[in-house]
Amino acid sequence: MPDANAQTSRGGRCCPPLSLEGRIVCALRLVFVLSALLAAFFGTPASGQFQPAPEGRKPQPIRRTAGGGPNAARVRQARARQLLRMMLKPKQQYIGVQETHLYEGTGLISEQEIEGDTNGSIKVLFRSPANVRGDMMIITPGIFRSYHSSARLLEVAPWPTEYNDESNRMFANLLNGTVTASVTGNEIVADRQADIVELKVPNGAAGAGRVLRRLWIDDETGILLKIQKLNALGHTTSTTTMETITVNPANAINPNEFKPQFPGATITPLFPAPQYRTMEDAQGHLPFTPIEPAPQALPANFHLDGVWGFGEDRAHPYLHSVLMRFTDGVASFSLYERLVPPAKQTPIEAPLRRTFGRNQQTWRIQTQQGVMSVQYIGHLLPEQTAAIYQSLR
Amino acid sequence: MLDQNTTDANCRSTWSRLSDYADNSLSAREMWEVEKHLAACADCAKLAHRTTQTIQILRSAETLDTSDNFMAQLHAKLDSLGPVPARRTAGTVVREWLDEVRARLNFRALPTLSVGMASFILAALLFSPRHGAIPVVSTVATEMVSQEALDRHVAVTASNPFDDPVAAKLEADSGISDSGARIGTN
Repeated sequence: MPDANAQTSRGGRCCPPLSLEGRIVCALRLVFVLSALLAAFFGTPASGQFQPAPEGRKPQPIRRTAGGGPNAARVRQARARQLLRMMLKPKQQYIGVQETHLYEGTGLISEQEIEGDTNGSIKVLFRSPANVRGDMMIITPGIFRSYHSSARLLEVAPWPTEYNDESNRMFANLLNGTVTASVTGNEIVADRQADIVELKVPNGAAGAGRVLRRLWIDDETGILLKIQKLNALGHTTSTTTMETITVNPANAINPNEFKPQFPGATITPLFPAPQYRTMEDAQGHLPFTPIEPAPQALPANFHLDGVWGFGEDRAHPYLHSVLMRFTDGVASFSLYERLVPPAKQTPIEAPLRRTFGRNQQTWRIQTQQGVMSVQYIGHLLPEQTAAIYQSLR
Repeated sequence: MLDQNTTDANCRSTWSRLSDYADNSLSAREMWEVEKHLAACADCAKLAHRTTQTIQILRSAETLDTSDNFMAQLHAKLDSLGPVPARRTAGTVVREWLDEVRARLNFRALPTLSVGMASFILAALLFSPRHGAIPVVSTVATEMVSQEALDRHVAVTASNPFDDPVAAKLEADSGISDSGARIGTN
């Protein structure tokens, strides 16, 4: 029985027969070997994977674990959600200078000073270009303020309203799978170690896997160090990058920094009326019937998620307007409609003469009520914008 | 909604205070009243922007220093000048022309002519289509409504924690429409 002998021989080397102590040792060795094999096979990422890299380390894609299995993907997604939550309320205050590049239209570059606190409040002071120098944008959890220095105009918009608690809705989208978030790499930004979080169209939806946003989040503090917006072709439309940053500055940021006074500024509430749940609700407050794009004309995954009516306090029906916001869970575009006064009605343009490449367009649409002015604001592809325009016509 | 008379009265009251408002010399109560009205009245808000902008521009204008003997030199120069013939303004020219016409006209026919013209104007007003039914909306007001669209888009963008409101603002403020004009022009 050579086989039996061989087994006996191997067993003799590992587990001496009849010895209880030897059998225990053998069993422990077996458990150890099996554990090592299982760990290697299922590829749980090492905890060191998300540790800050040493200064000066070159940007590198995140190390894929063995097989990139479903477990690894889940870990990357969980880490992304953790980072995004941390981003809403960073662990440290910070002061920095950031730069924004617009890649469409004029290719504008802008520099701003930014301050942020641990409540998620942000103050941005624009240094350039000249037309916005001195303007300030203050984003706090309860309210948005935008100060236009040249006009000494302070626009104020409180939120969230009943329907637009955006951060909660975004996380709901992440959890219900409307959008997926995953850590895909890490990079040094402004001398800080950042994890790159990609927001993507989920599997099973039209355009699955398409990246909607990339966010570079400081893996230690949750500070947003860079954000990149992409259109449906995957082309970058804008980036805002922290150039220099001081985390936890020696002089702590005073909370009053986020409630500045602008003496003599004209205060304008941007959303004097509440948000309507549906278009039907809004129509009761408007002197005209808004025109909606056909559902099939909307880009994949987009839906109407906000309607606001304006001008109830204005005497002229031509100063009433409606804002419709459409989103796919991350990206959004707006249609802003109002009736055109008869005296200002110009001939309707031929659709073929239009180009749809710009991110802001004004259309004139003939309706039974008269000519409607429709402002489109967004980053859809030209053919997607054209489909909406044709649908409205 | 306020009635028209109240709105007009509030507007007039605000206009009379705009200069002091821009100078920041109103009392706290008056400042509050003006800002409250400006937040509700788009036309007055626009007027206030323009007033404050104009004052800002005037304040930022360069001031020039003169030499110590500037006034003495100026008076000496003025004394040396002879009398200047009165300048014929457009008003003077028209007045002279009217005097000439009046001298040539037969004044006895003037009442008949006036009654005829008045009747013609009255008939034109009574029988022409009622243009008054169409409200006249200023270009400024419609431009403002359009600009509000962009500003509101920025605010909505800012409410999304995963969006870039800075980029949205820059796009709005550099707003080039499809027609190549600044958004807000019709």
